[in-house]
Amino acid sequence: MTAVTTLSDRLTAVVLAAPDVHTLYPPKTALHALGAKLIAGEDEHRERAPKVTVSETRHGTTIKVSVGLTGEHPATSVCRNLHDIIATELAAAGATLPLNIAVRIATISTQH
Amino acid sequence: MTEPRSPHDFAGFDIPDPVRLDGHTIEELSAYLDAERTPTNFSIESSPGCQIALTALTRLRELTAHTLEVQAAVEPAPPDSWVHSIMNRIALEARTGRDIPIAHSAPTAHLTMTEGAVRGMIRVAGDSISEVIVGRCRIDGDVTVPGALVTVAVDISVAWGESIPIAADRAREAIQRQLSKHTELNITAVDITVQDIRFAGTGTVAGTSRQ
Repeated sequence: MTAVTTLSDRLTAVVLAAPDVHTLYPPKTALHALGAKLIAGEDEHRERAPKVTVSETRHGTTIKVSVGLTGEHPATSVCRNLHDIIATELAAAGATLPLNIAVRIATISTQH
Repeated sequence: MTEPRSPHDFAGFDIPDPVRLDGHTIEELSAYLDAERTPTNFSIESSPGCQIALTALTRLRELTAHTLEVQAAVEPAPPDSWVHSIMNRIALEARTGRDIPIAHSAPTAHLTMTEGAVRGMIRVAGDSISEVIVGRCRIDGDVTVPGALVTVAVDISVAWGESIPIAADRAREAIQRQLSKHTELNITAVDITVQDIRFAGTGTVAGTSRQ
């Protein structure tokens, strides 16, 4: 049996394994903005863990990731490190250039 | 005719009612905490704004519960309007807000931190001082432009019997430490305003002291 790992799966695993990352948030949907009640029915298929968003076309590859950090190390350094490890993965995967890697820090926990 | 504003409302700011975080009101989040976050609500757990608000609500509960424990014999309970006012501020400030850029030399990088994440961090830092509860925080200046001058304004409540200047200094230091550690903002000042003193005499003492 062969396991099929997509680029999104690989990047998700890499991001979640990165130091200081404790949460990967899903991309915001239009429905989200309309309110929780409207997306309640969407919950079933949203219960899968969020993934890094990958959009690859012949014009390039765009990556979007929104994370929550533990706050142990400086968030700016962690953010740059995330970019770098994603860029390394994309290079190894032969992703279409140019690359656009958007990393957003959405929460920082500083209670420790 | 509008209702007269409670003296316990923080700084008299207009707060849109109800504030929703990814569709959830602060009351829903409070009820979710009451239920010990069970059953798991995916919509809440996957929302950064809700997570920031839950952290702040948890801390607010701990602080008010502790204060009540200590002062129960001699002091009245904090008025609901005071707690509700802070809860509303938590909801308002947990929203995503502006994107704050993070520098990187690579042209492929588009790195940002949300204003909501920074406000949440400021609130946790201020609340980490035992005699302080943060009522409101605001980031002034164009945070979307790297290097732009930015000031942070924080309203706090100080526990009765504590030194106000020392409490304000401790809160400022804690906030500056976290901002310096986690952001690249060009902070020119962290202005602390002591908005009130908690639970003295007949409840919360109105009054403002700029530190």
